[in-house]
Amino acid sequence: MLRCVLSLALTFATLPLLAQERPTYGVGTDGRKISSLAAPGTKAIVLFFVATDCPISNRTFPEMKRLREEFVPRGVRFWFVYPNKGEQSEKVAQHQVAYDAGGEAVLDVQGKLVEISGARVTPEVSVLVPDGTAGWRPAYTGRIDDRYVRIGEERSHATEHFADRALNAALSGGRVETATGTPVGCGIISSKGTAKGDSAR
Amino acid sequence: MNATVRVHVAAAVAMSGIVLAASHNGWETVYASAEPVTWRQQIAPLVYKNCTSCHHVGGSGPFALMTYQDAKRWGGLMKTVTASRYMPPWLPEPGHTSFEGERRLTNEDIELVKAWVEAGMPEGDGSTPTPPVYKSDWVLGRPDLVLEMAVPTEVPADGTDLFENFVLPVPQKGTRWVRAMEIKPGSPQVVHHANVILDRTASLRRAHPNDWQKGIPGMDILVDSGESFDPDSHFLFWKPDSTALIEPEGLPWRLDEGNDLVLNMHLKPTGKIEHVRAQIGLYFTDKPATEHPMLLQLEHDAALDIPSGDAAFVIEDELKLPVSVDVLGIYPHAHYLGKRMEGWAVLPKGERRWLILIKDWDINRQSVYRFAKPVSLPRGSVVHMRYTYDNSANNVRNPNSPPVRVRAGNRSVDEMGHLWLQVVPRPENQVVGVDPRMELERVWMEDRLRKNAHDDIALYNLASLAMMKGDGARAEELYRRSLERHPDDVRTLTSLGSAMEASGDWKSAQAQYRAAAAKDPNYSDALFDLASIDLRHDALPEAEQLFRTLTLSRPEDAAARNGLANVLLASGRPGEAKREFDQVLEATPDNFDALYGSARIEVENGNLQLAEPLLLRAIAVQNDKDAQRLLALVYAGIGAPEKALEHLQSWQRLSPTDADPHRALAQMYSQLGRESDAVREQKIVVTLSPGNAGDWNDLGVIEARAGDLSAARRDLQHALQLEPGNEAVRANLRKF
Repeated sequence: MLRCVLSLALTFATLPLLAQERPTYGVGTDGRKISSLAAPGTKAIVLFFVATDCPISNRTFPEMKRLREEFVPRGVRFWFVYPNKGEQSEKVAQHQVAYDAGGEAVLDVQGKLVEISGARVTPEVSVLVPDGTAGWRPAYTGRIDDRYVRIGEERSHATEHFADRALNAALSGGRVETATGTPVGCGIISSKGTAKGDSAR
Repeated sequence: MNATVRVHVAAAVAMSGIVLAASHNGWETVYASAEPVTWRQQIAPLVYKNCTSCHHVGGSGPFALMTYQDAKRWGGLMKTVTASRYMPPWLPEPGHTSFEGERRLTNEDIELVKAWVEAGMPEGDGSTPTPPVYKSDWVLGRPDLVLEMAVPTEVPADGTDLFENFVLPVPQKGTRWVRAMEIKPGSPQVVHHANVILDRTASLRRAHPNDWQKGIPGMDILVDSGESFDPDSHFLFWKPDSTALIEPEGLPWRLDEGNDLVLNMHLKPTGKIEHVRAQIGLYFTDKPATEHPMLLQLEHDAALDIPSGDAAFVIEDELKLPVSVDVLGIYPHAHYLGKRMEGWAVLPKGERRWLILIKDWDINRQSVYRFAKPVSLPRGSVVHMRYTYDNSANNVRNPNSPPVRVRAGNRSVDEMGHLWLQVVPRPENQVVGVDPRMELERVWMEDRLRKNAHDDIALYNLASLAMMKGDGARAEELYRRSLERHPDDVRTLTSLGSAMEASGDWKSAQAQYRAAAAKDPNYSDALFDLASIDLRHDALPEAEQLFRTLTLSRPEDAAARNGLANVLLASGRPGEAKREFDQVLEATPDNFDALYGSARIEVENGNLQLAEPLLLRAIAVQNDKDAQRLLALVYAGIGAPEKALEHLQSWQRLSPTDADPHRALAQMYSQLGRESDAVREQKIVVTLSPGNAGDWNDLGVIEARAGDLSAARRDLQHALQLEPGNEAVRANLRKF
C-alpha cells in the first residue's frame, strides 16, 4: 500500500514538469509532433536508432522486436527512431510495418533524440531512465548485442545481449553497465550534422 | 583490377597532385597537395568500375552508389569497408594467380576513397561522369528456356543462414547445348550465392518425392550420375554481381531430356520475412561441345575431426595427374571454421605453381574463380590442397558457442574441405576411342579410397571404370568390397551381376540378377538386366514376363518395350513384336532399336522394300554396324549391288577387326566380277581369321576366278592342311 502511494506521488510530481516543457522529439509517420516520449509511470524508454536503408539495422529488427515484446508489459516504452536526414514519413511507415508492425516510429527531424542519446549508428539502442525533475537521461547508449563484430564479420548468434541486460538492470534498480565496444552499422546522418563517431564500423 | 583502371587512377593521381612513393609492401600514397580528391574526377570512375555492378537500384547490394548523393550517404561506410578489404568482395590474395574479373582494389584506390571521405566528400568540378546502365531484364535477351522454382520459398526474418536445394525439372525433348545461363534469384538481397547442379538422373527428385519443390536443406548435395561414365561438368555458379554466365567457345554444356537442374541456394535472413522464387534462363546453341571438361576434387573430409578450441587444425590432400590438363577454374569450399586455404601444383621438374591462396576464408563471399588464362599442368604434376580451420571461440564466425568438436557434414555447423578444379585434358592425351578423363577419374577415386577404405562412391566408381575396361574380375572384387558394408544395396547387387556377365560367367550373373530382383522387386535395373540376359540365353518365358512387368509399371519405358518386342520376335511371334515396336515408334519416332527391330521383321517377312526406309532412318539416328549390315543385305536382295557395297563398306569401317564384313565384301565383289577387289578382301579375311579352312578355300576359288591358278592351288592346299577331310576343298583342288 505504501509503495502504491509513493508511486502515485512520483507520477504526479513529474507530470507538471513534462507539461511545462513540452519539447518536440520528432514527428510520427502520420505527421504529428511527438512532444512526449512516455506516459506517466513509464519505467524506462528504449530508443532504437534504425534506418530504412541500412542492412545491419534491418537484420537486427527481430532482436529489437523481441525486446519490445518482452519489455512493454514490464512498463517500458519503445520508439524506433529514424534519425537520418532525408527519411520520408511514408517510406518509414512502410518499413516499420514490414519489420515490426507493432513498433512505433518517430522521425528525428531535428536531431533531438540523437543529441539526447549520443547515438552514432543504426542500429543502436539508448535506454532512458527517469532523471528526477529533469525528465529522462540515457543510462545506456550503445550496441544492442554482440552479433556484429565489424562490417563483414558477424556471429551466427549473439552471445551478449547488452540492451536486454541494461533494461533488466534499469528495471530492477541495479547498476546499468557502461556501454563497451563500438556499435556496428551505418553512420547516422542527422539534421544536426553527422553524428560524432560517424563512420560505421 | 585491370590495366585500364590502373592507367585511369594514375592519371587522376597526377591531376590531384598526389605523390606516390614505393614501399616494401607496394605503393603508399602521400598527399602533398591540398587539392581534394573529388567524386567527379576520381571516385565515380572507381565506384562505377568496382561497386555498382551490385550497388545499383534493383541490384544485390543493399543500397545504390550510382549518384553523388548516394555515395555521399555511404561515404563513411565506403572508407571503412574498402580499408578492411571487405569490399569489393574478393578473397584470393594477389600476386599468386591471375583470375578473370578480379575485383581487388589497389592500395591507391583505397587511399583515394579515404582521402575523399576525409576531405568532406566533395563533388568537384568538371563534367558529371556517366554511370553504367544495368538492365533489370535478362542480360542476353529473352532466354530460349526459362525454368522457375515451382513455389516461392519463405525465408524467416531471423535466425541462421539457410542452405536449400530446389529441383527444377527440364521440360524438353532430346539433347540441347547450353552456351549461357543467367540466374535471376528473385530477391537478390536475400540470396548470397547459388550453385546449379546438373542431376542427370533426377536422383534428388526421386529421393525426395514430397519436398523437392519446396526445398531440401543441405549445404552440399550429392546427385547420382547414373551408370554411364559421363564426366562432363561445369561450374554453374552465381554470386551477387553475376549476370549471364557465358561459356567459352567450344565449351557449351549438355542438357539431356530428363535432366533436372538443382538450384543450391545460400539464403540470408534480412530482418523481415522474405519470399524467394528464382528463375534460371538458358541460352542454347546448335554447336555441340568440342572440348570436354571435368571437375576434379581434392578433399579430406575423413580427416575433419576438429577438437573444440583448436585454432589451427590442418587437413591436406594431393593428387598426381595421370594426364596433362589445362585448369580452367577453381572453387575452394569450406564452411564457417575454414580460415586459410592453399592450393598449388608441383610440376614434374619441381616447379611450384600457386593455384589459389586465401588467407581469411569467408563463406559469405565464396566464389568460383576462373583463371585469366588456363593453367597448364603436365602429366605427373601433383596438385595439393592445405586448409586450416579455426575452431576456437576467437573465430567470430564459429557457429558453435562455446566451440564443440566438429566433423565433416552437410549442415552449416559441420565442416568441409573441398578444392574443385575444372580441367580439360590436353590434346596430346587424345587417343581415338579413349577418354583421358577415365584416367583422371581413376586416380581421383583411388585417392579417395586411400583416404577412406570404405568410401562407397570411390568403390563403385572404380568398379564402373573397371567394367568400362572390360575387367569384370576387378569390378567384381570392388563391388563385393562395397557390399561388405551394404549387403542389401540392390544397385550394387545388380552391378555385381553385370561384372559377372562381363567376366563371361553368365549363369552366375543371371543368378545374381535374380537375387537383386528378389531383394527389391521394384528395382527396375535388376529386372531389366535379368530380362536382357534371359533373352540372350533363351530363357524366353521369364524374359517376357519381366519385360511385361516393366512395361506395365512404366509404359513409356522404350527400352523395356523394345526388349519385350525382341523376346516376342525370338519366340516366333513377329506380329506381336511389331505391335510393340510400333508403340515405341509412335511415342519416339527416332528410336533406333524399334526402327531396327521393325526392319528385321520386314526382312523376315520378305518385305525388303519396307525394310529399306526403316533402316535408313535407323542409321540416321545411330550409325550402327548391324543396321549397316542388314541394309546391305536388303540392297543385295532388291538388286542394288552398288548400294549394297556402299553399306558393306560402312559396316566394315565400324568393325575394323571383324572378318565378317570383309567376307561379305569379297562375295559381293566376286558377284560383280571385280575379282581383284574380291581377292584383296578375302586376303584380309584370312589375315584376320587364319585358322578357318573355309576362308582359305574361298580365297582359292576367288583367285582361280581371277586367273591366278598357282595362288589358288597354294591356298586350297593350305585349307586342306587345316582341315584334311574337307571334301569341298578337295573338289576345288581337283577342278583347278
